[in-house]
Amino acid sequence: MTPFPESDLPIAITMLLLFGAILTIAAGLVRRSFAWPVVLLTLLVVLGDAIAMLLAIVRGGPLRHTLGGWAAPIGIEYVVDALGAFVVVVIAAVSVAVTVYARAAVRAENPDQEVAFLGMMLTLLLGLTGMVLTGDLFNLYVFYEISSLAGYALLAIGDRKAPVAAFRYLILGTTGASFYLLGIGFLYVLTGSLNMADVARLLPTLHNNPALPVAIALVVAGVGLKTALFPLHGWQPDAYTYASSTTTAIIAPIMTKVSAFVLLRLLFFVFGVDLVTRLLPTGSILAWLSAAGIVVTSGMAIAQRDVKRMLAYSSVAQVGYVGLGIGLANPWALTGAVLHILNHATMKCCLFLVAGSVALHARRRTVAEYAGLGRMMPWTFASFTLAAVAMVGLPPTNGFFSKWYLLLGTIRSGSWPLVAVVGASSLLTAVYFFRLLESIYTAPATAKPEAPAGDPEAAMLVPTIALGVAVLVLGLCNSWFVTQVLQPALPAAVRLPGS
Amino acid sequence: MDITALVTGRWPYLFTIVLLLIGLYGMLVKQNLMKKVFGLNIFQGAIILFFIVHAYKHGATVPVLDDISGTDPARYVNPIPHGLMLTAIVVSVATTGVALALLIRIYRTFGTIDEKDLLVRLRDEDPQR
Amino acid sequence: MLLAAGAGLPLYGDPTAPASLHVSDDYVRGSMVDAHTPNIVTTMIADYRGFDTLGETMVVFSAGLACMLLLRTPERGRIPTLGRPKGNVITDIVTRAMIPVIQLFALYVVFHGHYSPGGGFQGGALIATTILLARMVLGFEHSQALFPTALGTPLGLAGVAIYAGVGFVALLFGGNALDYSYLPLGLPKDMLRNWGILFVEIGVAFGVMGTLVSIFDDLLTGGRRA
Repeated sequence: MTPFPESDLPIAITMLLLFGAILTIAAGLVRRSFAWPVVLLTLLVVLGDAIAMLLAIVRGGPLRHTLGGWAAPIGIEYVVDALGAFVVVVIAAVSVAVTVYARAAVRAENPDQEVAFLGMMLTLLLGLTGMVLTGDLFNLYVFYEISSLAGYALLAIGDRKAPVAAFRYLILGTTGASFYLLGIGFLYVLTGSLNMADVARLLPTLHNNPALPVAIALVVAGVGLKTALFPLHGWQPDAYTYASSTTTAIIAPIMTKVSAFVLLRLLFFVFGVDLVTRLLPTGSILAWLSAAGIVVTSGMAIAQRDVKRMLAYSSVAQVGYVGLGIGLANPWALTGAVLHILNHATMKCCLFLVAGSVALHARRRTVAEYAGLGRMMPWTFASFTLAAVAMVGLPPTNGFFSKWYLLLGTIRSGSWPLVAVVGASSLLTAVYFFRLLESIYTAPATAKPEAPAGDPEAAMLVPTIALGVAVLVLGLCNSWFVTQVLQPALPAAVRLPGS
Repeated sequence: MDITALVTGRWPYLFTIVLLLIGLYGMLVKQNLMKKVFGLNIFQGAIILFFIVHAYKHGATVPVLDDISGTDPARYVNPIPHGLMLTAIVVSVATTGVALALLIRIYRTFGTIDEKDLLVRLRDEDPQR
Repeated sequence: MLLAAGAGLPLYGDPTAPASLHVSDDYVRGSMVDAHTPNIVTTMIADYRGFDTLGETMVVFSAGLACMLLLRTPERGRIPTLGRPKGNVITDIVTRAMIPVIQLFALYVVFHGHYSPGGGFQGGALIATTILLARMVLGFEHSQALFPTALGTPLGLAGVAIYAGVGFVALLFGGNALDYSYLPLGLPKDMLRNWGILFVEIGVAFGVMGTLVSIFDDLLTGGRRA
């Protein structure tokens, strides 16, 4: 056996997740309780791999792995830059947290399906990490569908109404994937290649071709649907609300962010900043739609009585920030958008874990029912408070910094309505969170005889607290991330001055 | 937009568009969930057709190397779209399988797979919406 | 919108369209040289773009897993009409006679995929069809002897594992993943790729066969064990 070159790290992640999923099912078929340890072990190794990969890239530049030994564009290659590695680390870290939580949660909610559920979770992660790591357009489609299929199945387990929401998502999601496929079909027919870098090289010669804007529109629509960009977000609120707590905790923070990252990659690295802004006002459309989405969905979040549904609408609004940042395409906005990917993942995961713990442990679901829980479940809600404060965007939590960059980005773009949107949205977010927090801490608790007082068990509590702490820590360390990881990864045209 | 050039030189593409629209119609307009699944299949079929149509070359044969044509690429139909569509078809089948499993589950829980009836029953259960 | 795009697309049947040049040419020219395989599509999907096919196998596996997740319950139930023996002598005998023939053909399709249209997916689907035929005509219970339901999922898993395993072996022996020329078989490079393609196609056939039967059984029985 020869020693591991660093370029093997990316494919190792995919292999680990694949064999992990196979072993989980195999172990689970032997005995149900064997499944969970396999999952945890796999994800811990993946996390280690991801961190090693990130460090290697920060040191030495992007990693390439050509599969089958065939150099692109003949073969498929994995191309990972600092940004991609960063997203993979986020995915891995959040999944470890959710896995710890899942042990108790899955046993409480869906014990009969534990093995298949856990296997499906690894498959989801397989698909999502693949989407981030690949450098080939069609390979992206394959991984997109893997993660989608896993998503449909996972989202259908939960409430009685979950299969309906999952079905709706299936129809919409597959349509989106098909749009994407058609879009890359156009690109292929025009360029003859499926490799991202290759297509990027060949596109500038084609910019008079009327098929090109259509291709871009199709691709953006396809990926946008999975990102739940307004107005393609219709599937999300129902899906998140009815799914089981573990599912929402793993999908909400990660799936839409990965799609947002893919959108960013496609727009800036394949199509090119130039093409995106000149040929089709993609940037502006994206920015304005996102802004509208932020306002509308934040408003809807305020109107919700079910906490999970409120968080679901909030998620759509948050992804809107990322969309806005990408659409504006200036250095500050992009930095804010990418930072928000990390930040929102940690914040939302924490919030959904809390919602799940409360639903399972204390059996409460609506804002009214959350009254007084702050004293009954102190640690849980301490984390919730941290995450909520971060969502609103107060320093020194991480949420503040990503919003700050976005705000700077909107100011730079000179569009005052957009500046107002970013500012107003923080206000709207404050409304629905502070209202909840007030109820949690000041109102008297309603006793529920079947629900014990106190925080839930350690398996569910520890990840919640860990994420709450992370929210604070990431806020304090944010400048390291921005200068060491983010800036080198963005194309030179869109870096902050002085980096 | 030169309609004649579109029709004479690229007529299979128009068929693709027609199929695409039929599929979309099925998915959006039809109330029965099963029919939506059919619509989805037709839609995906249209896209597969798109790829295959663009693989064709006049006078070319199946992409299996033989002694007559040697290795001249112009004598063989473009193999890439065919290979890609193998994958796309499998994905389509897998998605249909999952869709059907979901429909079975919905039917078991609610007793109907018609969208109108379903919405009524959902609303009855969820007073907060 | 799509009509407008049509103007930019190449003409139907044009052999000089960009799609047909560039990478495609390399595949046509390289198929025999690199992998000793005349069927260009097979070389393409199992070697040049073998990773996509691995992904596809993963998709099939996820679908099987999804049906397992969604449908299986510990409840018990009856077998629906579709799975009951039809009892008609003619269909019975014809089916019994045809199944081995189809299976033989399926094996031919898998192994001859290098030389004629065919390969793992097609062959695997064909074998699955024979099992489905048996389930429908001969009855769910009787056809268990041909292929027990419990075998479906493990076989599917094994298929994916074989495919990924081949890729992994290549990685272990110094090459990049799925680079068959690094397989430790002691053959010249093009024959190594030839055999690599075969192993991978077998993996695919198992995967597809196991998963399709597993999905069918889950849909038929509604996940309930009889």
